[in-house]
Amino acid sequence: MPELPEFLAAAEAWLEAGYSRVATEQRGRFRWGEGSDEVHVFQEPDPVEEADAVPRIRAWRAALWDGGYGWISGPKEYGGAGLSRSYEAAFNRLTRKFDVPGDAALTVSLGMIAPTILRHADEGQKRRYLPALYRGDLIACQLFSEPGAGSDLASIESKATPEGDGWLITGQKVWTSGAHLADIGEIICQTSPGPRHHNLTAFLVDMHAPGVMVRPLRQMTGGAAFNEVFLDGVRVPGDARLDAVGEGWRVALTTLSHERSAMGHSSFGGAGILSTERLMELVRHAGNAHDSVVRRDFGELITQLRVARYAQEVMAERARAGQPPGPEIALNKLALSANMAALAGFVAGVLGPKVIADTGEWGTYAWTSVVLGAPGYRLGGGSDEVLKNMIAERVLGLPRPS
Amino acid sequence: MSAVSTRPNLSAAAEHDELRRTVRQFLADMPPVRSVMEATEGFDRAAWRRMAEQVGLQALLVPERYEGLGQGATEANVVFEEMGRALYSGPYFASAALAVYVLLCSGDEAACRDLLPGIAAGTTIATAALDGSSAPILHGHVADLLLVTDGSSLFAVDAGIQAQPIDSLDLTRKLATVKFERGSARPVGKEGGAPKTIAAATDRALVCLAAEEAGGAARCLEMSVAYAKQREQFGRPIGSFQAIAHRCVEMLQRVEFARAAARYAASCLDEETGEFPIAARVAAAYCGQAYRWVAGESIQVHGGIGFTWEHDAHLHYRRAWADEALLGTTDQHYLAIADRLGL
Ligand SMILES: Cc1cc2nc3c(=O)[nH]c(=O)nc-3n(C[C@H](O)[C@H](O)[C@H](O)COP(=O)(O)OP(=O)(O)OC[C@H]3O[C@@H](n4cnc5c(N)ncnc54)[C@H](O)[C@@H]3O)c2cc1C
Repeated sequence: MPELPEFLAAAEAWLEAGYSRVATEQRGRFRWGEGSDEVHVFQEPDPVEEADAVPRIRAWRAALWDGGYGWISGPKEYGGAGLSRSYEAAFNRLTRKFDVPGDAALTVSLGMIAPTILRHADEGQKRRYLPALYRGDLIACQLFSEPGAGSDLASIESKATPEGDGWLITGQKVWTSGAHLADIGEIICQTSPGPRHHNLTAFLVDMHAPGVMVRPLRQMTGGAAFNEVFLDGVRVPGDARLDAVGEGWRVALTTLSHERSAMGHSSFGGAGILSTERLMELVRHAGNAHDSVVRRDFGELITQLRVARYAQEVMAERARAGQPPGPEIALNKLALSANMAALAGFVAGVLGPKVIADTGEWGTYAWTSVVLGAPGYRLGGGSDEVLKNMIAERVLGLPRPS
Repeated sequence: MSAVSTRPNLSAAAEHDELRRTVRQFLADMPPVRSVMEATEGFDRAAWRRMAEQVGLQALLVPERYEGLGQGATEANVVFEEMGRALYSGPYFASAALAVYVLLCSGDEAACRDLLPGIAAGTTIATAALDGSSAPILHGHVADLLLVTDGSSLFAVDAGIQAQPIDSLDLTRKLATVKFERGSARPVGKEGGAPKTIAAATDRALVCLAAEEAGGAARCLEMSVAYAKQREQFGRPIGSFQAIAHRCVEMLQRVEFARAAARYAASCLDEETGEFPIAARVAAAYCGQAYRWVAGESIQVHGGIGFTWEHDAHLHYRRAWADEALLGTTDQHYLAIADRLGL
């Protein structure tokens, strides 16, 4: 195993050879008025941009994989580099210095579905899917929620019935983020009438198979990051089943626990949305830098954002020390939705009229994406209320709240 | 570590668990805080001596060359969390953290050599009054050594101190009005060096205070959750009502984040990372608010019992509100963060 400094030196040389350093890195700080002023909250670029972005993301993943950096903490037998998570985290920090496509479009793929496969799939499935997901050859989505089954996920009604040596799936899914980009979907279906929690089975369904129809749903932000997915007698082979028949609920729980930790992570994402420098520039350009109320509110916002980051780092350290993240990881998601709301309130206060009409001024109206996106964070990844029920029961040991 | 690095190493050594167990046990064996808080001194002298002789806690942050244990902020973080949980009423924070940091930050070698060994041994009780005014002084009534400032320079006073404990909101951490003879004051550090020393010492002491607050908040949560499981109304435990359960989860969130914030700031201090000036105030602001909020909610979860004199809930509530005015208010911390980030 290479020492971390050697590893990072090699990684930096590799990045240097293929990518340019980001402008802010060269100058050491965020530059007001340069480049795009978009504030990405959800993956919802316009369709033209997206058509352009996805191949770039896939090419970046392929280059990473071929360079040996595609899955740094992954087991060697599935193409990973077999190094510890601290190497992976250090590499990810390093990539922020370079102009590389972000991995945000792959949060579901790599942050949620791949770890579920690693935990629940059989040997053949792991070899087939894991390298493909990390290499960006396959993009995955999460087919859980249905019109009648949101918070009460166990009441899923999509059905999978055995047919020949495979299965036939029929049902309707909703709010599926990224389904329009996905090659495969992790779907939970009913495979028997009962009992509750034991009647579900998980599959990896080919999103390009006949009978799968994806219809974009327009979000309140105006973009369309999530979709309705209709499955009408979709044939899936026997080896598309994930874990045993009747084990679907456990598989779903694995994915959900990774979802909470993946979502919590984005609260300090390097995408610039929560960049301190960007917020300060916003305050300066709005002419509020000497207003003591704004300075106080800025200090409060920074406090909330930093503490969320510190808490994540402390939790990550515990995980590295061998204590796996428990249900308390969902606290990070609660912090994320609260911080998004706080950020929206702060920027709206600083911008005043500039946030309600697009005057064309750089870096002003763009913040509406935070104002409009914040409510989605309270719902996605398990609503805040449902997560609080779960934490009360599983972390605090309280009786099931009702 | 250089100041370029901003990320501290957070690995929690196994010794910290050992230290925590030792301190928790020691505090559990002490006379309960209620039995000492109404006495004039407000703490148990014999236990203070045992703390020095058996565990050496007063020596924790004092470097070895001044006869201390030379431990870092990370170890202090563990001790202060425990002190906060137990509402320890002795002059530990004032003497072993605040006064020690003032002396160390003054860079006055002679003063450190003369004064720190006594503090480390627990034979000298020290405290500091850093705002230069005549405001009441933390544990002034039991102090053998006062660190004071005229706004420009620092002085140590160890004779002719006349102190009078006064009614304090926090029943487990007393304040006193203090008079002393100017003539007996010994200059500490460079003339005019007080503002710099005080700023540095305040940041460091705030990190200890933050850990204490996180520990106090953790104790309030613990009491609330235990009560919510046991108290029944409408034929079921009150903890099964979402309003109570969600309240408890929000308390947990603040407790966990407060502990992480104090812990992170302590690591930044030990490793001298560039993040420390921010992390210190972030921890101070967050932990202060978290403790105040959690202590208040804890009373609500307990119902009428929580509002009685006999229940410990109000002792935490009082401590939390008093802490807020000890070394800067939350708003002052927020403003300091804006300043330090260069806004
Ligand atoms: C941006 C976004 C992206 C998403 N992406 C995906 C995806 O990729 N894949 C996928 O499968 N799903 C996805 N979802 C769906 C998401 O998981 C659900 O919206 C969520 O679980 C809530 O379900 P629901 O919308 O049916 O609301 P409901 O369950 O009907 O809830 C409505 C309200 O009732 C509250 N409530 C419900 N039950 C309880 C209870 N027991 N106690 C207290 N309050 C309760 C909820 O908190 C909420 O406020 C996404 C959602 C959003 C907003």
